Amino acid sequence: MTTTDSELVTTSLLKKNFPKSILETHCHRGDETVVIDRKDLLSICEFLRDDEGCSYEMLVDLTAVDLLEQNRTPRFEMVYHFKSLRHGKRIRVKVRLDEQDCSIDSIYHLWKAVDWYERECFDMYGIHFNNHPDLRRILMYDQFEGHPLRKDYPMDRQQPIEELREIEERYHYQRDV
Amino acid sequence: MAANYDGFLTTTFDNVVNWSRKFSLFQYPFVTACCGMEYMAAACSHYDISRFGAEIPRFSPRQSDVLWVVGTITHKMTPVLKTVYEQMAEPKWVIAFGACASSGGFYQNYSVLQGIDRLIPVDIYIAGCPPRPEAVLDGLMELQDRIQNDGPTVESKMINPQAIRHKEAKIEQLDHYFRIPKKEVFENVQNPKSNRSIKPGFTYNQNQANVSPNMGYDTPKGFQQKEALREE
Repeated sequence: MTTTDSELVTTSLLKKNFPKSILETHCHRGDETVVIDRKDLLSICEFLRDDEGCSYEMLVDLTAVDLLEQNRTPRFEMVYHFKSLRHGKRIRVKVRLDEQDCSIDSIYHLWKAVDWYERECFDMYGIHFNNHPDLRRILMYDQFEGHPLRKDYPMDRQQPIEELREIEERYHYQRDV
Repeated sequence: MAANYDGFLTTTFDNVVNWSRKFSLFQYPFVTACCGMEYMAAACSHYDISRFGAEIPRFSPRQSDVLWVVGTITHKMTPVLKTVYEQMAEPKWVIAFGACASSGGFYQNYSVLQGIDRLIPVDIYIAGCPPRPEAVLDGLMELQDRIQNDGPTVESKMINPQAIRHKEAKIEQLDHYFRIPKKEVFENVQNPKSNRSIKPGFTYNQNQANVSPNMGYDTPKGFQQKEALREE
C-alpha cells in the first residue's frame, strides 16, 4: 500500500504554513512523522491543535530518545504523539536537541496531560522544559545523581538511599566442569 | 525432648513456646509485584495457608510475626521496608518470596535492590519467578521447622540437616542442567557496534556465579574489584 501526497493532509498543511521549519517528513501506512525545528515547536503544536484540518485534541505520548550510540550529532530526539479524535488520525512530531543545550519549551499550556510526561522525561533524560509549572523528578528520589536512561549512565550503577549491609557470604551453587 | 509417663508429658518450656509460636504465625504481606498473585493463590482456599496456622494477614506490622517480602524492592522503597521491619515486635521472621526479593532477579539496573538481605536479615528464601504455591508452603514449613528447632534466639547461619540434604539434592539437579564453561565473557551482545569505551560484561569463574558479592554497588571495595576485572 502506498500513500500519495494528497492523502498526507497534515504534512501538506504543515509544509504550506511552516515551510522553513519542517526538516523531514516520513509516512508509514498512513501514520505521518514530521521532524521540526525547535524554535517553532509551540506555534506548530498550537496549529496542530486548533486548525480545522488537523484538530489533534489529544496528546498520546511524549518521550525522548538518546542517540549516543549511533553517533548522531544532535544527541537527543524528542518524540510527541498526537491523536485526532475527529479525523481518527495520528501524527508523530520529532524535535532534535543538542547535548550542550538540551532544553525545550513546555507545551503544558496546550495539553495539560503533558505535565507528568515532561517530568518523567526530565527525570530520565535530563531534558529541561522551559516554563513547566513544576519540573521535579517524578520517579527517582531527590538524592539520585544523573539521569538513568541516558546511554552514558553506567549500566550497573546503583545509588542506595539506605545504608546497605555487606553480605559476608551468599550461598553459591558449586559448578564443576 | 519429650517423654511419656502414664498420661503425663514432660517437655522443656522452650519447646512448648516454640510449638505454639510456629502454629500462630501472623503475617504481614509486603506485596509489591506480580509474586503477589502467587501469594494470594497460596493464601486462598485452594492451597489454604491457614492449615499451617498462618491464617490471618495483619496489615499492621506491630501485630505480625512474619514479614513476607513479596516482589521487587526498589531503592526508593527501602526506607519503607526498613521502617516496617523495625516496627515489628520480637520475635519476628522474614521470608524473601521469589527471585526479585531474594537476589534482585533479572533486574540488575539503576533502581532495584539486589536482594533484601542487603537491608534486613532474612530467614527463608523461596526460589521461583514467581514460586508455585507448593514452594510457598514448603518455605513456610521450613520456617516452622526452624522456629521449633532453633527457637527465637536463632543463630543466623544455622541450617538443619534436613535442609542441607535438600540443598545437596538441588545442587545435583542444577549441575545437571546448568553447566557453565570455565571462563566465558559476554560482551555487549545487544549492540555489538557500541562505541562505548567500557563495555559491560560478566566474567564467570569456575566456582562462583557472580563476579563479586558487591557487584552493582558503589562501595569502594566493589569498585576496586570491578576495575580489576575490567583490566583483565
